Amino acid sequence: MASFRLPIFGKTRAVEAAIDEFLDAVSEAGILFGKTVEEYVSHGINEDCMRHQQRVTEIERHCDDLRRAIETTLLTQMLIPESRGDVLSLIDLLDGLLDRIKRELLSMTIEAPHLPRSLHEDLKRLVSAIVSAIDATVLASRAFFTNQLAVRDHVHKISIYESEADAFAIRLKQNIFSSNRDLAEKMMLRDFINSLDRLADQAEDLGDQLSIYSLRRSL
Amino acid sequence: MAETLLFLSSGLFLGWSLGANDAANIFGTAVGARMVRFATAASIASVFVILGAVFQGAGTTHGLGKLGQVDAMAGAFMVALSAAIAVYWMTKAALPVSTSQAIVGAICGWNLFSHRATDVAVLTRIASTWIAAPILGAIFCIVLHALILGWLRLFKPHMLRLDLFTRWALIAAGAFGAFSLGANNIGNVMGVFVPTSPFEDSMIGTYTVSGSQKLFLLGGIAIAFGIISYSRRVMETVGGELLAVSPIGAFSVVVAQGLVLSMFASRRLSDWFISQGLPEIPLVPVSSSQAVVGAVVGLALLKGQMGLRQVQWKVLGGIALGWLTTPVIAGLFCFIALFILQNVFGQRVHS
Repeated sequence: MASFRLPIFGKTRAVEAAIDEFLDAVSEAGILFGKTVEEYVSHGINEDCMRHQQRVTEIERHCDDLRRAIETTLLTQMLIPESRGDVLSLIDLLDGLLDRIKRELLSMTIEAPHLPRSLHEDLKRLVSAIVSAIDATVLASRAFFTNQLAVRDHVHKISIYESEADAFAIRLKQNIFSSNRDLAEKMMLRDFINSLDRLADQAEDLGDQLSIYSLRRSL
Repeated sequence: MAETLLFLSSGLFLGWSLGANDAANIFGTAVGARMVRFATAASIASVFVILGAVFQGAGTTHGLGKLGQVDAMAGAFMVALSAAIAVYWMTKAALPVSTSQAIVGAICGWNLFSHRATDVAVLTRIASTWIAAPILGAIFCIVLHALILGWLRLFKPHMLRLDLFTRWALIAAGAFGAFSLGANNIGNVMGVFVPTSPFEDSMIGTYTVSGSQKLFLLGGIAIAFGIISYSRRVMETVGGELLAVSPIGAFSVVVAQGLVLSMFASRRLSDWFISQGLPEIPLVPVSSSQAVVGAVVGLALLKGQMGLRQVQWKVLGGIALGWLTTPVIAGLFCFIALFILQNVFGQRVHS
């Protein structure tokens, strides 16, 4: 396991940089998630899909090291005592989101579900809404560290993208179950869509938590 | 010498209790929130409280002297002891109390006992500072905190960098608060002993150390001892009693309190007011706790309805009541105790 250590001196700047790097990584993973699913929808499993999935796995591993380093430094150096608990929870929640992105891509490349052409457009829209929700989550998290007033705006956007994702997921499932496919295929497609949609739900849950952390900091 | 120390002991006790209680006003939130270590807070507070007492303590002592010149050592002992006992008893009874108000009451008690007239104009001016201190605390805090919030919105520093700034700012504000506390409140602790001071002026190089300054140094050390020996528990438990305050809010509160205490201790500022044709600022000890309460309410006002809902208004009502009850209790106690000291123990309590 790769280890990651923050320097003892200039610890404040080092933790700031580590948090920024962590957020950049979540953002990159979100973009790669969108690209991979779109590539899969259009062309099935190919080299690009596998490369992106591999990259997300690497990002997730690196973020685990970053998370440990941030947690250790915040705790041992007694930084931000007022908000330390909230920051640690936020980093954990973001790590959970990253972990789910990795797992979704891994499942997709292993299971390789057959996606009928009639679902392609809505699937791309669903993925676009999910990527936007993840992106807004990263922006909200960044704002939590620098601009509390902006947190609310970004959290509101997460909510909007999550609702959009839900709407596309419902339409996709209605389309699937109104077709003449095998029940097994219908259920597999349903699970695939539910699984993707849960990413947006997780982003929304994270946004709700962020609202609470932000409110707590403003008291 | 032993007799002198015995008579000074009541003032030293008052100083100790002042240090034990009032250091929490300066570093309570910072230590309670673990932004500043207790050892750091106690060291800084101790040094600056002594510096404030020695170098700027004369103003408030002179101000108290206008109310009554306690001209016998035993009398001064009993005035300080009465104030200390009143503070102790009211603290035990969970009543809001201020050393500044107790000492004023005790001096009035001595005036009454020794048939000296209490200058009503001076008393009224002192009492007006009790009301003015929390109001000024609120105003200073509102202005300062609004400026800080504006700065934060403009520059949007990272939470971690802001945390670092806040720690240093809390230490600097604490040093200023401690200096102001020493300068303003040393009058409570040693003021009544100045007319009968056992110390004489002496020279250190080209610098003259007055007898009063030696007395203030002793009082300052007593306050510092109170801070080191007993303020930890108060600091760790008192935070958030009136309203939960963030570390940045605590900075505004401490600076506002320091400004109020400095205002009523600075001869230079008072002279400048007079030179500008403005009313003279009375140089008298004011309650640091009440200045803090005013500042915290100012912070709540700035937050609007949400902040005001969080304020424990009962605490404020208690403080207003304390303006009346503290001096009356201390004055009555002093009068009775002086009678006993004079007639039972045969001590000369006034000339």
